[in-house]
Formats: sequence, structure tokens, C-alpha cells
Amino acid sequence: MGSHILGLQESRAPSAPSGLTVRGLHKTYGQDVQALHDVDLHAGEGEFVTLLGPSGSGKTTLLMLIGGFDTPTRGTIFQGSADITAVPPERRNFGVVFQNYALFPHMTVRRNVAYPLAARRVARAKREGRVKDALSLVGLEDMEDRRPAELSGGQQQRVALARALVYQPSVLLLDEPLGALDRSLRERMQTELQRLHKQTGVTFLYVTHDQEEALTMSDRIAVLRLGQIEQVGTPQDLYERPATEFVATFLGLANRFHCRVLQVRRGVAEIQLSFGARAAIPCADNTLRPGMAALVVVRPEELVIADSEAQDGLELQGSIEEVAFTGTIWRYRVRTREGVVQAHSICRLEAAAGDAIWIRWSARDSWAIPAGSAPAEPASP
Amino acid sequence: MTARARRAPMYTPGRVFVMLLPFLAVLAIGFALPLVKAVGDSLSAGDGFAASYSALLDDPVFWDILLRTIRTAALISVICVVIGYPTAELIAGAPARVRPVLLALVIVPFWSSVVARTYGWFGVFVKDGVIDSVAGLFGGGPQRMLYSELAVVVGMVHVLLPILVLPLYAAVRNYDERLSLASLSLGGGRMRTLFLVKLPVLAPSILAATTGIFVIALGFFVTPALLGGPDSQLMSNLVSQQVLQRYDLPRAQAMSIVLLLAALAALALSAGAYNLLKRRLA
Repeated sequence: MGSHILGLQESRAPSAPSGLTVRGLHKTYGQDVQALHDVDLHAGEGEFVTLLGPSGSGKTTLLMLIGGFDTPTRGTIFQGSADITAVPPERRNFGVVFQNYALFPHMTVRRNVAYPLAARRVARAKREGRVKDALSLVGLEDMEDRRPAELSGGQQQRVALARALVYQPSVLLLDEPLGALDRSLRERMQTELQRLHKQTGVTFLYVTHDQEEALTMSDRIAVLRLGQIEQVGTPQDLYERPATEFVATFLGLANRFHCRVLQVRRGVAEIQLSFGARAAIPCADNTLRPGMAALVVVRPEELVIADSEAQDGLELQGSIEEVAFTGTIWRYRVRTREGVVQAHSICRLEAAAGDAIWIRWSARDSWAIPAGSAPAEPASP
Repeated sequence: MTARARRAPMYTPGRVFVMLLPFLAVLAIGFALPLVKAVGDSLSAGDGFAASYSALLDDPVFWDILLRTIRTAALISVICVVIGYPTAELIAGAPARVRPVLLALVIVPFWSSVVARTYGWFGVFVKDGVIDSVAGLFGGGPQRMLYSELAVVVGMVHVLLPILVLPLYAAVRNYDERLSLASLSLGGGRMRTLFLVKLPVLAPSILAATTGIFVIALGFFVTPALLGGPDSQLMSNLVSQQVLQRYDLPRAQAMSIVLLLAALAALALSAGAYNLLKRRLA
């Protein structure tokens, strides 16, 4: 369907498989600034993969290396089975959308979008139709004669997308493309990008530091930290089964309770929490060993606030410090002897600030990870 | 908030005027008055209104030198851009540690006396100078380069180049390199990227810097006076000749004013083109 919309009935050339593989990628600047360390990543054909990480995690460096704008210190980049590490950017046939869109200011929208076609020596007569198709794909039909400066941020974004898709690239690289837009526009563009992804079938490699954006749009997310990939998985994988404390805290809020591993069976760890309780908590294979210090991760929405002790399962006594209403949920900050705990509830509870309560959760809804990695910087709540 | 807490603006128009007074006085005495006097004198001298101008316009030598001046200034501007733009690119693209050194190589000559730099070329072009010695090594005779138009052009390019390189360097540094990356990613080769993206975006800055060179070159005196011969004198040399050798002040004034008008015309043309280019970018 995508090919059709872009004005080419023929399907994608089979000789250019768009699966992308990065193997053992290192990038060092100068003597000692290591931007990327031993990165392995695969994006399947037509997949939407997000590189997620805080600033300085190397996600943009990785994207620039894949785009061919910089050469890796070590490692290989494959497209399908072809080594493209040394191929210059103008011959990779990737589309790139930059954060500031990088539209050519001296050209009209039409000339901007026709630029890659002209560079590919597409006949002048054919260009017009393909430019129109690409612009209608992003919903910008009547703006062909405007200059970028005459467009709003969202419209510029769409032109950048049209320009990067008009030549049917095998891969689209997006570097924080929504970073400069306001919140409501950003949400609309997220939907728009997902639609474009489905419609064109192009492999999307998307860089963002916004975890919500990553969770909403991606097929899979690669979390980067300090130039290394911390974990790769589906949004649900990362949220429910984070590999490290960093991933747990970077994607959403995570309550962590210290514990010690007593025994490990397949996928379940018998642990003793620092406040005494024992439980069998799900965990990933080969991550925990008996005797290790570990963390039990519980998402705020898995915590239940009760006014009395139940004496079965996991529970902690505490007092409510703060209640906040966000529009969709109620947020409770609860002070316990294990520190401050966050609990979310979709309905208002009888409890108010200052009340002594019990928080309770089930072992099933928790997840055990090794202790010792660092949490993410306090992100925006 | 009380009225006292709100501080009066430090620069009221009145104060600014008072502070500008010394500058305005110098400008009035040193520039505006002589200019008005020159215009008046040159128009009223001789018999009849603007007689010195009509005499000037009937003089083929004057036209020769005016056209030569414009041609030389244009040639120098073009050579300066061709050398200066890659230089600016080179400096802007150099590693951060090397950049100050390269900039110093441009700025230090810029700070040095024009006379001294021109005499440097004198030593290069003079009979039995650097060029003749080098030519001698290869069995060539004296090259007779001093007092030629070539010597004037080389000397003036050397003197004026920094004035072009510095603003172009700033423009290249301000250029958003992502535009070039985008062009490459879209399949534009290096040449297409340079000529269809980068240079058009830099065009207003290049035009402004080049116009500066052109206007300065129009009125340049020292270098053609020292390195040029009778056949390579420029307008300012002719003006000086009228004053110092012929004592024909009205004629010299008329020439200066024609030169000034040429410079203003160049500025106006350039400003128009600049606005056109800017509008395409804005």
C-alpha cells in the first residue's frame, strides 16, 4: 500500500533488504571520550525500533553512525547481509529526519521534497507527481509554493517527513523529530508517525529521550546508557521485566525494595525482603544467584492501599505524605520504613494525607533484578 | 513595589545624545563638513555650474582610470572570494586546538601596517627581488613585475583578504551543518550539497563580505601607489596627483565625488541583492 501511495506500483526492490544490524560498534572521540561501547542491535525489515536514553547516552551518535555521517572506531553495520560501514551517506538510501528538520530555507516546499528526486536524476515530469503523492501522504497538499519559514513547526515536520520518504528509502532515521513541538501537537504527530510507518512499511529507527513516546510508538525499544545498550525489548518487556534498575526507573516510576536472594528456580527467585517478608518473585533467567543482593521492582499501579493489615503476602505499613490528582489517576506518596513509596489508584481512596495505612502488593506483579546498577536520574514524573 | 525600587533606564535618548557628542563632532568636522564643502566647491568652480564635472566627463583618461578602478576592484573581490571562502571553511573545520592558530595567521597581518605589507611585496616584485632570483635559478631573466597591474592586484588581494575571511569564517561557523547532512542523506553528492545547499544559504554573507572588499578596493591608495606604474594607477592615485602635482583641487574633488557615487551605487546594488537573497532564506 505504501508503495502505491508513493506513486510506484512496483514493490520494493528485493535486492535491498531493509533489515539493519549493528555489530560490536565502538565510537571514541579523541583520546578518551567513549561515546559508544560495543553496541549490538538489530532492526527487522519494517520494524519500528526506538533508541531511548538520557542525553549523553550515545543514542544520537549511534543514529549518526548508522546514517553514515560519521565512521565507527570499530564494529560493523549491515543492511541485510551487506556490510555498509564504509558506504557514504548519499549512497545508503536512508531517509533522515533531524530534530530541527533541516529543511533547505532557500527552497520552496516543492523543491525541498523534489530535492532527493533531482539528486537521483528522476525525470522532471515524474517528480511533480511523486512530490504531490509524498505531500498528500503527510497531509500537506496545498503548501507546495511556501517556504519553510512560512510554515508552522508541525508543518515543517511533515515536509521533512515527505522529503525523507519521497524516494522510498529502505530505512528512516528519526533524531528526536518531535522534540521541538508542543505537547498536543507531539501527541498528534506520534499517531501520524505510526500511521506513516504502517502505510509505508519502511524500517523506522527513532531516537528519543521521552520514555512515553518510546512506549507508545515502538515495536521494540533499545535503552541506552553511557554508550552501551542496557536492554532491548518490546515496550511491555521493558516496563514489566526490566533488566536493570536503570531501565526500571527510566521507563516510568518504579518502587524498589532491597532484598536478598535465597534460592533461584526457573524464572522465580525466592527472596527475603529487608523488612523481613519472604516471597517468590518472577525474574529473568540467569540474572540472580543465591546470596546476591537484589531489588524487588513494583510499579505504582500494582500497589494497593488498605487501612488494615492483611497478614498474607507482601505489605508495608506507612503514612500518606501527599495526595495528587492528575486527571486520570490519584497519586499517593507514602512514607514507609523502606523509604518513600509511590502508589497510583484509578479511584479516590478514603485516605488523606497524614493517615496511617498499609500498602500491599502481590508477588506475581513484582519483578526481581540484581541490585547494584544505578537508577536513572529523577525523570519528569 | 515602590517607585524607588524601579531603576531609571540608564540610557535615555538624551543621555545617549550627550555621550555621542564627541563622536558626532569629529564626524561633522572630519567628514560631513569637508564632504559638503567638496561638493559645493566642485560644483561652483570654473565658469558655469558643475564645469569641473563636464570637463571630467569629457576626459578619456578619467574614464579609463575609472573603469580600470572598477574592473580591478571587481577582479580583486572575485579573487578574494575564491581564496577566502575555502580559507574560512578550512579554519571553521579545523580541530578546536588548531583554530586559534589559523585565525591568528589571518588576524596578525590584518593588524600590521598596510604600508609595511605592501613594501613586503615591493621586495618580492622589485628588480633582482625574490621573483627575479627564483626566475634566475631556472635561467629566466628579470620579470619586470613591479609597477604592473598584476603587482597591484596581488598586493591588494593580500591586504584585503583578512577583511573577507573573518566575516566569512563567522558565517561558516553559524551555518547549520545539519543542512549539509540532510542533503547528503537525501542522496545529494558533495558538489550538489555545496552548490545547491551550502553556498545558497551562505550567499547573503558572501555577498556582504565581498561588497565590503569591493568598496574598499575602489578607494584604495597605498598599494597601487607603491606597486603600480603609470598604467596601473587607480582613481585615488589620480585624485592625489591632481592635488599634489597639479594643484587642481576642484577637479580632484569632482573625481572623489564620482568615485563616492560609484561606491554608493555598488552598495545600493548589493543591498538590493542582499535583501532579495535574505527574503529567499527568511
